[in-house]
Amino acid sequence: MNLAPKYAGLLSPYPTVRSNGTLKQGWGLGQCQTCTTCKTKDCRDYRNQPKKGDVQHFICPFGLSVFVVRFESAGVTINGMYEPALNGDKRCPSRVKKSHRVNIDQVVEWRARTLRVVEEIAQDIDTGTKEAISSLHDIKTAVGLVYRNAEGMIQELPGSTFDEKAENAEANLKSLLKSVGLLSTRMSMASIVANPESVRFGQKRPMPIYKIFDKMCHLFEEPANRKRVGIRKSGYSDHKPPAYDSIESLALVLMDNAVKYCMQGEDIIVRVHDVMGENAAVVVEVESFGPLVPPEEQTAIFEKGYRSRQAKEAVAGGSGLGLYIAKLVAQAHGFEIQYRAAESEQGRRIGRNIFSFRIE
Amino acid sequence: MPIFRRNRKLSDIRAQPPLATLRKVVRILVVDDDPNSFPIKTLQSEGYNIEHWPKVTNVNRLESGDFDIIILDIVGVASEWSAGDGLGILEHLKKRNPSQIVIAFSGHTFDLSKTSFWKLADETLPKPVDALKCKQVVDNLIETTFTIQHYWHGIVQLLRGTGVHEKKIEQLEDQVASAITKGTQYNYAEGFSRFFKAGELLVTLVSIGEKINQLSAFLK
Repeated sequence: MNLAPKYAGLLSPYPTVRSNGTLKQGWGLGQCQTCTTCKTKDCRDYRNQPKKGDVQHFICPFGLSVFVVRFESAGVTINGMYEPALNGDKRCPSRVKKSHRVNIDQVVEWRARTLRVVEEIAQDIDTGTKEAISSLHDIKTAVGLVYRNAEGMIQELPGSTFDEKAENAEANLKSLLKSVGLLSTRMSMASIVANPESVRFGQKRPMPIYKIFDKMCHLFEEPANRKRVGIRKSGYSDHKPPAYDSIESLALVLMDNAVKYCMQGEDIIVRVHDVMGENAAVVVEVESFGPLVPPEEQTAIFEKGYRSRQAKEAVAGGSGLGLYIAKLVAQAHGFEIQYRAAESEQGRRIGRNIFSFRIE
Repeated sequence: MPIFRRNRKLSDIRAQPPLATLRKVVRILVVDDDPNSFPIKTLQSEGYNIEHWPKVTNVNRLESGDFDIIILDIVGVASEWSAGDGLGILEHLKKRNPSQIVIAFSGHTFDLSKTSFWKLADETLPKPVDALKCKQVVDNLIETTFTIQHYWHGIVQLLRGTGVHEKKIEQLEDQVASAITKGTQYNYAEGFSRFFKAGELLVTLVSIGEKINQLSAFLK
């Protein structure tokens, strides 16, 4: 994780300019007047000057020194300065020469210090994360033991293969296995939050999307029944697009949210169907009746930790991580999750929410 | 009549032994200090040939290709052999023999510092796992990776790494493909001795070649 560019701006004593042209004050030096009144904010694309380590010196069209400081793949631009040894440009305003004088060696030193601080921050974050989720490992070990015991019971059942024996298991045992499966998927979601790269772990394998959603429908039957919410399935698919294991987390998030936010007495409809042709795909839609997401929040609901006001009003508990995880999984597979309110519901506060995606 | 014959390619050999046959012959090793984390008994009763080591006790056996699939935990299995524990072993094995099939098996999916463990392996099994999932992952690997083409690719990687000329590699591939088509076993020790007189690379190459012979025997 390259935290340096993010923190370098905050830790900089010098003024900086972001890639979108926004100026930021340094904690030691503010932006000079030439820069605040500059229309273009296109500081660095001019005469190339000498480089020292990972610090490159440029001169902007107004004769001011600009430093581009590289932190691995990203960089921070320090603008509106005067480097006495490297900047002989006569257009550089004399007030900047006095107030914003800096030597390239000082910038190089600042970069080194920043890296050390950021390294410490990264280590602290890593330690904190590890401490917070190390207990997860013990829970995983315990869940593994539940699996082994359940499998031992299945082995005693009639059937020639384990799959057959599992098929012959009593409803209670099947239900136990499904619940442990749900717990296991939830734990993998916690791992995704701690390590987003884990959505891409493993090989992509042909995944029975219909079966995954069918399993989720069964798993959520009980909590849905408690809320007097029905779950209806529609369509069928036998296409198995290549997908990572993490696709199960996406299915879980969509079903979990549907049950969580669906209003009492209403139905959740899960539609799965194949799209044939050259780009064969499976299309999934999960529809539920509850608070609608206003248009201005429809992108934000996929951000980490974001919960819409309507969601908070409807359900007090929630971390705002579900749709963020779903988005990460979708990105790993190269598709997007779409949200829409059913057409007749647009403009209302409550109505039918539809989350959908198409996987090829 | 054409003067030049096109070299035979192993990619032209499409036939693959049936999964049911391969399941019984594939030698699987589970390296994990927790004996309950992998459904060893269940898979053994399904006919899979599985051995369990709580720790890495013999690196030579791992290096020599004794096992077709190694299911490797990351923590507490090889700290005596490598500072990187399971990751160190995985890196060593992949460097020595890139075609060694390894499944990363751990509960440490959340740990950013261990991401390379998951990336380097051929497949992953994040703990906890149930027997059906394990069967699915192992069967998929047997079908897609325990193949003549996979092992040939490993041989090519090692030969290229030591600077063997592409022409020589193509000739060798032609001879191997020809032997498979005729239903005979190619003598890898003799074939590779043209490039290397002795050494651990020759041993590794021959052990990979033997896997191709093992697989091609089922095609007869």
